[in-house]
Amino acid sequence: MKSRYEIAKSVFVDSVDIDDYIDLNASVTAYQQLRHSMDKPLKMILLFGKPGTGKSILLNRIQEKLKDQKEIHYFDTPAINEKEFFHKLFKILTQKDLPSNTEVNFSALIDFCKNLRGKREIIILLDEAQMYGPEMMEKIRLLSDSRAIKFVVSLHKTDDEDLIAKEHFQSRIWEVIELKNATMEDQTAYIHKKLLKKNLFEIANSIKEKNMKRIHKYTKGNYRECNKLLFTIFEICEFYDKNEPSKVNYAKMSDKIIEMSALKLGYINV
Amino acid sequence: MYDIKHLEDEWKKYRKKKLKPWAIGILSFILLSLFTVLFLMNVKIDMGFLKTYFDVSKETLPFEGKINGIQKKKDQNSVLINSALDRLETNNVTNRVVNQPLNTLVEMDELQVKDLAQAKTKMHLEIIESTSVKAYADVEKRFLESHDIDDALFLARSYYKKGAMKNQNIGHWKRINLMKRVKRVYLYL
Repeated sequence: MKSRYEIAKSVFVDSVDIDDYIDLNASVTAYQQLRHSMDKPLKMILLFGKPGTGKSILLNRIQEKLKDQKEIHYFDTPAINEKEFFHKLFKILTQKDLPSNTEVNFSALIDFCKNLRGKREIIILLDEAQMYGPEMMEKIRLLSDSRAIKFVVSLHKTDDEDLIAKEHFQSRIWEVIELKNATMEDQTAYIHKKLLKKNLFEIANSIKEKNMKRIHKYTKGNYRECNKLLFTIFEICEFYDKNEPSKVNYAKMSDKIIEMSALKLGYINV
Repeated sequence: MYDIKHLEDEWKKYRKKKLKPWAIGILSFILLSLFTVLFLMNVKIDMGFLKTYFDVSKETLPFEGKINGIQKKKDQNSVLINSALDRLETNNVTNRVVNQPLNTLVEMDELQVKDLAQAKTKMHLEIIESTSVKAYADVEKRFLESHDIDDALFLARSYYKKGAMKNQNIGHWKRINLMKRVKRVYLYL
């Protein structure tokens, strides 16, 4: 028989799965803001925030929601090189595969995009955009100038954002949406909703407010870190449940297990 | 599954580290409360040992000269030693006087005068110990030259003992005075 903690553990496997999307106050606000910006005649929208603030899942969700209404495409992983990126773009624009051993002529691509203006409205969601080089970003900017393609650029709030902050680039970004780390309330709702979605009521009830405070303190409201911590917590619980059941309090999550998980993940040190 | 035993050990260490400031805080609070209660209950605690400690410490303070005058600043080492000695002597004398019953005060005075006399005739003690006639002759010779009162006292005492007052080669008034002192000295002997 499967341990209840085994199922709970699987809930917090870090993934960008649209089925795992949890509606929270902050994420609903960000979603509506992004949706509203996309309806405006903007060339570029910048979505940024620290890693683990839910940028990817938001882009994923927006693509899932709008795919039947708009011509929207999600580039989840950055292209290894320029050639690969333009191959993908060519396929989207022409709806044809590029013949093998051929390369995209950038000037021709710009002209093609200009011809599309007013006929089609293409939205490209670029995740992890901080991994694109400056040259590549310049070409994306020129493509957005054609007004046929709208780019939603998602990037981490790191030093790389200097690139976006450059004057010539900044003038083209008309909307900036920042995702922040979750508040204690949001994180509590996130954990509870995730567990309740899998009918793990008992486990959800066993995590009290005091435990939530501790979890928020260690993860600083970062969803990715929260997933990692809860995965480890349930992994330890699973071990005790199978080998030393006396050490597990099924009614209340013990601080000891949370601290042990935090030690393992390096949030705290001896 | 990873090494849960190791993780548990790490957690125990972490717990200890986390609780340490609390333990120190609680202990300090208990001690503080205990002292407060004792003071409120007017329990007399013998703090004599602290007084001695602080008195001695005061002597070794570098800015002690400011308190006791500029003169002490000039030679700090000697001041420190002398002051320490003064204090020790004062303490001893005070203790002896205070601790003795009244009827023994006379004995104390006698002892002190005896000590004083011994201190003054320090040079003569060696002579008293020697019984040779030459020693007396030396003192007699020195007395004739210097007319030192201590030598006179010594000679008078020795002559008095021998019943040979007539041999005293000193002036009448001086002799009377000497006799008085001899008598006074004899009272303390």
